[in-house]
Amino acid sequence: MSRMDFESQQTNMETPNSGGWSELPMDILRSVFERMSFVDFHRAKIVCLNWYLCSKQTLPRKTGSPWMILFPEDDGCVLYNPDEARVYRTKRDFSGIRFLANSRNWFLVLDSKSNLYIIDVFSEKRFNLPPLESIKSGHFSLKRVRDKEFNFRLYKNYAGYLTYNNVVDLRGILWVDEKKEEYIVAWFLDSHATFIAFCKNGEHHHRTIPTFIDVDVELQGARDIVLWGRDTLYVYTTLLYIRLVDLSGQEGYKDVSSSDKSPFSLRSPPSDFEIVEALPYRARGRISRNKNIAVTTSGEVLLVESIIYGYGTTKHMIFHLYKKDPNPNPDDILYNLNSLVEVDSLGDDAILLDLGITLHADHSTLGIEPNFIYFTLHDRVDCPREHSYLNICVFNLGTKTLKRFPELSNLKLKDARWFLPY
Amino acid sequence: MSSNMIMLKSSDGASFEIEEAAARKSKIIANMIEVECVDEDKAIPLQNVTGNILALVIEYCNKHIVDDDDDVATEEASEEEEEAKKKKVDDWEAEFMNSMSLETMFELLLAANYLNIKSLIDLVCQTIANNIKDKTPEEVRKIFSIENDFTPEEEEEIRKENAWAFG
Repeated sequence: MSRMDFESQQTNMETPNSGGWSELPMDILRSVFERMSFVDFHRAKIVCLNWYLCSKQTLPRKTGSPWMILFPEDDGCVLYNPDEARVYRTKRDFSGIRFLANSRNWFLVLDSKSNLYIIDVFSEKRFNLPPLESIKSGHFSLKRVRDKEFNFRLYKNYAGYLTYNNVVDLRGILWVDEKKEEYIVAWFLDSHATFIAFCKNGEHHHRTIPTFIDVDVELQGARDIVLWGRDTLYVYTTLLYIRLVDLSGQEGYKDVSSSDKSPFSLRSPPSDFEIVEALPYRARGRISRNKNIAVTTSGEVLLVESIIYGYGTTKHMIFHLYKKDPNPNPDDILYNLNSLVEVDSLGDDAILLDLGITLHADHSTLGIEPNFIYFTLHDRVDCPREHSYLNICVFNLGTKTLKRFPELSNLKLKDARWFLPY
Repeated sequence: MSSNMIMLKSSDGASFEIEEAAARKSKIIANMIEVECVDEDKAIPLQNVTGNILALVIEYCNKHIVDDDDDVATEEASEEEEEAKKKKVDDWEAEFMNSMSLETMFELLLAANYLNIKSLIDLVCQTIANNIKDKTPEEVRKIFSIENDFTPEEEEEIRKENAWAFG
């Protein structure tokens, strides 16, 4: 290239814009938007038309602590950003709406007429889902009696078996891929329900997965369920086995549980007494122990045991994590004995236990604390509602310490959930 | 090592002598040097950059070329030394950005974009993002003298997208 070429190239180059800050070249403006916090991003797009157009071409920075959606006792909801220690309120009317599950900024909700849909908590976008009663199954039917009441009928070999269900018992989980506009919803009516229903984008009815009929005894029931992507459902069964269900087919589902028939629990779990002995100090008061599962980004299942102990309002909490022993004793395999090993560290990952998944975390670039468990409530799925209470905290698995949010104590909350706002 | 010096000429005719290594911070100039279209005794004309802005760009490039040299010299530097050095650069950058008006910052950003100096673009963009932090749209408009060119209906519509009173 000769000097002349360069000069002609130079004159052909776009002359920098001098229209002021509102008319910065789009790629520069994008670079500014990419550096803003989530909230700043959504404020800046209101500044002027060009900035708004730029915000549409930019993704907000994927950084910052997970947020919480909080549900005060007097209905409605607010958002809480731990980075700013700030509560955001909304002008939208969420009264009478129950938030069942979330996947990033998308929430599965049930309105007062028992309509199920998915909303973006930050915009008016929503996806309607088929009515609850439109389940496709040879075994069951669900019939609406009132807004919140349904009759459930079981056919196969159980002529006349009928139960009454109220949607207060409805539990759900959600997975959304915003870019591909794909989603999957799974729900069931309380932990003793005889089926899990699921529905994907583009489908007009809910498919069902029986949890008792034609299911091996180990794989019956559901104490916890986790959606792992759009095609895989993990069920932690009543007898503490892992049931793996492939939802990728066009019709029905495929049970792909491991042929390895060993329970996913500790072979000889410590007694309450032994747990008290092992605690940092001898805690009296009632101990409550709960088991959940969390699925890592690579699909490995973790057992998360949460132990709540101590007196009155000053409850303490500790977590233990376990995974399947990668090198089990051959005898254990032979006799279907479970062999779990304790996991001391999540490495660079964090667990959002409300979602049952791990996330890649890096505090300096992402704002999510690695090796932390983000926790609100242990029995979201297997839920004796009257006994469960909120215990909003993050647990540092490395130091075994809890961080709480005392600034939330003046909000009378009935529920809360961690979520990633971006 | 004696380094080559090259000449840069601003749009208003001011000439600046700069070490080639510093000038290479600009991808545009580096590219010109690569293809050997730089006469040793002839200044490179930069039509879109005025003298006062070019002086700032050169100050930035000089500062950062020195730092790069240090990197080579202290390859075995301890973590603490590394950290101290990084802090020194951060402090210098903060001071550098603090010393200029928003108007100058705007010109500097356009110049950095034109000359394609990635790290300087990043620095200015970050400074702007910091200036916007925790500000309402009204405050941002005031700081940057931006006119609200939305119709009231459009603004209402966009505020509705922000259902959580972020504005």
